[in-house]
Amino acid sequence: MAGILSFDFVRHAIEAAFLASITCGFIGAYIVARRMVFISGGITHASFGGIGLGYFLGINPILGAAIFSVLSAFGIRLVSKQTDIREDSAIGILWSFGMAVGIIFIYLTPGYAPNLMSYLFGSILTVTSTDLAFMGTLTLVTVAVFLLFYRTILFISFDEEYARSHNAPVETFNYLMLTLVALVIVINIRVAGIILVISYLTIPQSTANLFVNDLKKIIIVSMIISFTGSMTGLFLSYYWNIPSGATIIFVFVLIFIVARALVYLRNLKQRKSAIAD
Amino acid sequence: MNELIILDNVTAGYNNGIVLRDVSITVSDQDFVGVIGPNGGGKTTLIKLILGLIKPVSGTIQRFDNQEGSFIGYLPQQSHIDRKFPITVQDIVLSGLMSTGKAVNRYSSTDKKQALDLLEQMGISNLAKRTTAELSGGQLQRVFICRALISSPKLLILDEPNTFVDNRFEHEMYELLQKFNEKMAIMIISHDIGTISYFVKTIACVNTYLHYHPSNIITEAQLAGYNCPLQIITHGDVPHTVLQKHDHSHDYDQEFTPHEHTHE
Repeated sequence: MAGILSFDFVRHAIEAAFLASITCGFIGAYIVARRMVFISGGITHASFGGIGLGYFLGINPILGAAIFSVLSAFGIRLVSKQTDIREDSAIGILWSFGMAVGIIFIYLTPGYAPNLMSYLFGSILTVTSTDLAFMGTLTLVTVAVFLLFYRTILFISFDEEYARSHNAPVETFNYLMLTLVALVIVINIRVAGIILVISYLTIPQSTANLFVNDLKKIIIVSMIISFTGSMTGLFLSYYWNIPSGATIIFVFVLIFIVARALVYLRNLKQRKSAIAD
Repeated sequence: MNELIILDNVTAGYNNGIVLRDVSITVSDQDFVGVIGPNGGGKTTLIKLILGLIKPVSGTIQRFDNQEGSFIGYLPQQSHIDRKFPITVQDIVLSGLMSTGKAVNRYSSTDKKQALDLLEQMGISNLAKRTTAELSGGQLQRVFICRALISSPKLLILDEPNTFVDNRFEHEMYELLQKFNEKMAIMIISHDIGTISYFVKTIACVNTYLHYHPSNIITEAQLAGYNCPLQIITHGDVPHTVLQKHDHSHDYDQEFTPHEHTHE
């Protein structure tokens, strides 16, 4: 067991999983509480256009993805607010458009064909120190935003209209949080990939929500589930030699199912004892 | 009597048309105004104007707002709340202190104690750590009343407060409101004028135009004159005086003298 820790890539993977658990704990809890899972899926897939553009222009694909994801997040909000296009339709359009743009640019890029699989399904085992530096910075920003503005974020999310009637900076915060959501998604694409990043943002949070009902507690519990699940998945994938990203998600779902079953059994027991009384 | 809000010749609406025209109304402290009118008549738009959520197309709105914290306490309709949102009752009440324009909101132990005291007064301090999903409609309404009151507002606005509430709490709520009215002005929106006319001091009928009726007794004839297509119905076991005698010869199943009755 201790032997595999001597590999640099394993230590990098563990650090990446740790940072991903923190950022996704905060942002995932926010997304789940506000029912923003679908828009987050749209942002995730739209960012693929940025990855393609990055390759085509010879810039860092993650930088391209960051620009694409923030712009698509704002685009979805603006389009659904200012026009008669409904939000879920706008998400569907940008979702597929981003993927299409990505494929076209990568096809047009001459020479070296990049490893697309690593962007679709993540490659936590090839995370570099540069990636970790990016992730670490964003983790600090996310922690700072939530520590400073937790109450404001909570109140605006719960009742936007009420916050507006108190002159709270609702729009500023909605866009700040949308930017943070987009950036957290892009950074975690390195770890979980486009297809699977959404599960980092939703499954541990939904599992936490089975046991706790307060946003603060959901954030903390989902971080613990995230990191435990990531570690379990990482080691299983190492021993069975199967793709790590997919294994982590598989473990997340298993944890969710077991937790749901436990809650079901607990409720059953409570009902029985209630009847017995 | 101090004026709190003055709307002068206000016209307002949305992209698809004008909803309110030439509305003038003054709300002063100690007022207890019932706002009635048909759906789509502009009741909610009037509230949004007063709360500053929308700007008028023409006319002026003056707010005599000279206090720290929120000057208006607001009880929204429950229908727009996500009941599964992960927030505790205590946090909902504290959100009433969300300070104007500030992004960093922190609460002292005094604030928390005040929130608990309010919940205690409403008889639900045992629910402080619960979340909205675990509450009944009446309990949630009490929580929202606490949220509206925690900033000691000069004006309390309630939008259809009786929609999700059982009859027993409805009665209790109106009695509470009369008590609050000693300290603050109240505006209450309702489609149920039969019930609110007993509690309010004055009535504003909103149907594109606003007709202000300086007493709580209103007749169908007056409503017709205001072009306010509402029927006066009496129901429930909430005691209510309704309506003076008037010379209609319709055979409505209602009585025109003060009375108390119950029917299903």
